[in-house]
Amino acid sequence: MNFHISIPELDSYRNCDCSSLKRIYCRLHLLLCKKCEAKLSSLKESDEFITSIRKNLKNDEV
Amino acid sequence: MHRDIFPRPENGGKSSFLEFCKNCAILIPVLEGGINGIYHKGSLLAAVKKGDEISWQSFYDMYKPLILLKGSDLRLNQTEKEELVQLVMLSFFNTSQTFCYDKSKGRFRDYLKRIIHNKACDLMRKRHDGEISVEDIPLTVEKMLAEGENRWEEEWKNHVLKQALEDLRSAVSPLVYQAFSMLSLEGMSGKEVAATLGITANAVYVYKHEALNKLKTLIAEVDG
Repeated sequence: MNFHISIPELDSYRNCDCSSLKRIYCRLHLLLCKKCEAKLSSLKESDEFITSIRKNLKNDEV
Repeated sequence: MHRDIFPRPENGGKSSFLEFCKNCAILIPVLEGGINGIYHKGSLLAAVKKGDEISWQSFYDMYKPLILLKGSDLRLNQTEKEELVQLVMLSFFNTSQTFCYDKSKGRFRDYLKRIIHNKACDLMRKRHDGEISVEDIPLTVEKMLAEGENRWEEEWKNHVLKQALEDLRSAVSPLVYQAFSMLSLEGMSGKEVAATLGITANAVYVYKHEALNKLKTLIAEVDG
């Protein structure tokens, strides 16, 4: 596979923030590309990191 | 590094957001709250790590909650906790209004913890209430500190994160920070952020990851 999907593109894909065409492309690509599939999974770590930031900021407000 | 920074004369010698660096002959931004613009824009912890001069007031505002927390872990009463803050402050600032951290002393967080530990031992020795023998005090403090270790680590992480977020504002462009903040911190959708900022949804995610990567680097730098 020559072309891969970037992390920001994968992020917008999973949040349904990209065009329908891009979404179809990503879906097909992810069926075939283990590397991009792994990148998509790695976004969960970013989510956890962001959740911890939000929790921290929320605690500060209280 | 800009070490000799002076308030602009036209500002009546007061600290301002931009100060004059004698060495570089340029105006540079500084943190609000620094005495006469002694340290640079960026977090206090970053300044500590760089060995920049830190003002008494900034240090007090930043570390008082952490010292009080440690005092609670050591089961000190309110008066003792307040005294602990003063004793720790005195050990850092002694006779000067500013201090520079000597990196050879190791990690700042460990150094701070050690100072708090020692001052808490001093306070407990002063009690003379016979509850704990003087010889047992370091051991008792050690035990109580170990119990509160997780809380300290948690508080320290929060402290580092807060500092890194402060640094992030100046490390990335305002647009990148805004996109990151709206999307990740305020929980807006990519489309909403894109419409608000007048950029594409794809750009929103590019900016988010730019900011996230920078934030992770800043945390690693600040926490060392």
